[in-house]
Amino acid sequence: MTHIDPEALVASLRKLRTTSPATGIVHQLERAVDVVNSLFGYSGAGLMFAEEGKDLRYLVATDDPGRSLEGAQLHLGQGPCISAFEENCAVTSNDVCVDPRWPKLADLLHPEVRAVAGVPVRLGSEPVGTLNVYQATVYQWDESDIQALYGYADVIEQLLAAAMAAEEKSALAEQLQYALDYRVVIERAIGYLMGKHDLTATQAFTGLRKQARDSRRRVADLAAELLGEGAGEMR
Amino acid sequence: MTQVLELSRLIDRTLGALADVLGADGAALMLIDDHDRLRAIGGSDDHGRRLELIQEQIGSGPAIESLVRGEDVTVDDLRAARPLGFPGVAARVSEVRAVLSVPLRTEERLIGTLNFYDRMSHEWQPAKVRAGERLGELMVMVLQTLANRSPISGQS
Repeated sequence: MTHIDPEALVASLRKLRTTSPATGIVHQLERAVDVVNSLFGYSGAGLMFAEEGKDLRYLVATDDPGRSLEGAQLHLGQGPCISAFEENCAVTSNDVCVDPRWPKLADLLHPEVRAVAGVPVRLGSEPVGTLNVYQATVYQWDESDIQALYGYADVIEQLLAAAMAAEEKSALAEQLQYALDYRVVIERAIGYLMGKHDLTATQAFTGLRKQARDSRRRVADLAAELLGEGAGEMR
Repeated sequence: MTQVLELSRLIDRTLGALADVLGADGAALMLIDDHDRLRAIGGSDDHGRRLELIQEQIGSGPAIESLVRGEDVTVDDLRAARPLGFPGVAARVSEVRAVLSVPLRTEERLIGTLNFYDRMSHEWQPAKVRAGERLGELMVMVLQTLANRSPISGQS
């Protein structure tokens, strides 16, 4: 039983439909992680996602250290976020650089990644990804941190559930697959901008994302276009 | 019918999750419908649903004031005399004391309000109000995603 008036809800959604352009689930998840990041006040946040029956990959990261955290774990096939996914429970590390569970991780991490916490994002009871946050200094995670992280993961789960209710499952999977695949293009575009304009990775990604938002385009599409232009300049 | 119930369950769970994140006792929702009427959608529990229904019936309350002013409205104690409280609403929802109403916006316009509430009266700290605003953005994302599903198309 719910405490919702279905008729009023449907009438209101109908009104919203007339004025709201459809935005993809990946764009929504990027915005949601941004909100989570701003609310937590931690150094950064990210979302990793698993293709059906496959390994975890990173979908959203708020900044360069966050991308290094997710990239390093994927490279090694281990880390706190991967453990959170595999064990379907919260996993924390107060200082991932000296954590004996993942001794090789520190070498691949951005120096600003020290404390890490990840919780599973579930659909039904099955984990489909992880919501991760990190701190730039050693940090003692407590129960309130974990409960808050689970709360945000719950909101992201509702967003995913809404997208599944709104679209065919296959269309949703296609959008997520597209995003996962295009992370490679985004990484290459960041490298190109860093070299061309002498930027840090963070500056390059922030600029790319801002330009995409300002022009109401997907970061991946803008990145692909930049790489096309870059290739043209080099010819 | 099943699909509409599925929508209701999703909004119900979302309101519960948002209330948990803010550390509030509950969250409730009012939205403008396709005839430009402000409608009580419901809440994460029965108190939230009643809080919204009463405001819809009497045309007064923090949610309505938030929508009219287009800004956050904080009420430390609903039972306080006007203009600090809304005793007319409080008399009919005795379990709700402190209310935070944040306007919900799409890029184009106001679409309704998200309302957090607590059973005990208290002052709303600015950080909590800002968090409520950001959580309102998440609520709008869920609503926009649901609005684009086909079963709700057409006129009522």
